Amino acid sequence: MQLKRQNGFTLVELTIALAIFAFLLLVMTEGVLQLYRIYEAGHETRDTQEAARGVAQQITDDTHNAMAVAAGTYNGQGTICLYQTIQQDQSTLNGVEYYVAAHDTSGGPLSSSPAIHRTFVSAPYTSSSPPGCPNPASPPVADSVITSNSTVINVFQTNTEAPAPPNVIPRLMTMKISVESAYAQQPGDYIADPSNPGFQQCASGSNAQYCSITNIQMAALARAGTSL
Amino acid sequence: MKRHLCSQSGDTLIEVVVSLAILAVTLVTSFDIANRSYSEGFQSREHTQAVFLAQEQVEKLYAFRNNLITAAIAANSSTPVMQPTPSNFGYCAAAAGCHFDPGSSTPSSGPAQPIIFGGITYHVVIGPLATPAINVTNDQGSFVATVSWSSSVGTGQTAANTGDTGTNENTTTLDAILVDNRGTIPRDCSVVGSSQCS
Repeated sequence: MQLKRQNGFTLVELTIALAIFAFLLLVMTEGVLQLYRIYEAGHETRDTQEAARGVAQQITDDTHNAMAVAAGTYNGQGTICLYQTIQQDQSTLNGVEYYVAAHDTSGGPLSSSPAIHRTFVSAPYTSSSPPGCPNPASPPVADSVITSNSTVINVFQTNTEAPAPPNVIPRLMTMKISVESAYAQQPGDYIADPSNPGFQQCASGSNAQYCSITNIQMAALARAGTSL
Repeated sequence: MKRHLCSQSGDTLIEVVVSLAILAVTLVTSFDIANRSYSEGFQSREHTQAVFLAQEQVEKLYAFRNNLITAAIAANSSTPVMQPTPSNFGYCAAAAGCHFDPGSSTPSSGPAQPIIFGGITYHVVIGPLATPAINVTNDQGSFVATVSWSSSVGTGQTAANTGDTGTNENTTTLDAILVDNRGTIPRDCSVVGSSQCS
């Protein structure tokens, strides 16, 4: 009944085996983590792109349907007013206004608002001067909100151009749109783009490994007006 | 019992090596696919930015056309607005092309100053789409806005047009067919007066 002597692993063998296994586990874990990082970074890139395209498309649509455009500022951000109709007595323009509801101007993130708001707006009209873009009501009420997961949307450096004199009503709207991912909100995630004032770009380094910022420079032309 | 214990055997070295190789290939392949997917997303963003830059120039081209028409109506002129002169669409119809500077409503000769977003340099120019680009008789013009840039990722394509000399060259274009439709567009009554708007 005596069993044949069986040899087990020695302590050295066991230690070496464990070391090899730990090394392989480390390599595999790092590989899987890297896959996650790539997925997350790609997801953020697509997310910011989607938001930027959505905002740009909606503003372009509204501009193409407008007969006059105007730009202003609110909370340190650019606002745009796209007037689509004029009242019969030629005294008031009616349209839509885009604005960012809140903005952190303390030097931190570009904006604390994850959305751009769109509301109805009215402004007085005189044929001798371009229309203004009034501030939204206080507290601001948005009729619709353009937003995207984990992103911050900014519209800034808006500018309007009128046709040649004597026409003073602006018809061309140029603007810059910046959409940042949620991972682009901490100091060290982003740096100022030295080539393009106002725009930010993701910093290099591990802090910004998921950072994504989509910047767009665009223009849209209002239709020729029937009443202006 | 004795025979049972003696029959136990572990994996051979070959088996272990093969299984590890399969695991490594799977991991590397997954990493490569994910990396390519990320690169495509990155390139997609560059194309998005390029398309909007081209769209910006095209919109300004249409605005310039509208300004000429508005001025022609105000002057009660029947002269076609599509003319191959420098003060008109001449620069855009030339081989060197034209561009609109920020804040300028009239075209300038040659490509625009390079525009840099996040380290990517975009070259923008409006050029002729057809030969000739301007048909004065029909009062129409055909132009194309071209944006070229060297991608930070890509397949290593060499430069195919003006601008960059590096690899990973990308190009996107946007056509613009302009006609003098002053007979059909709503007239700008604040300029031309009520008599011409009736």
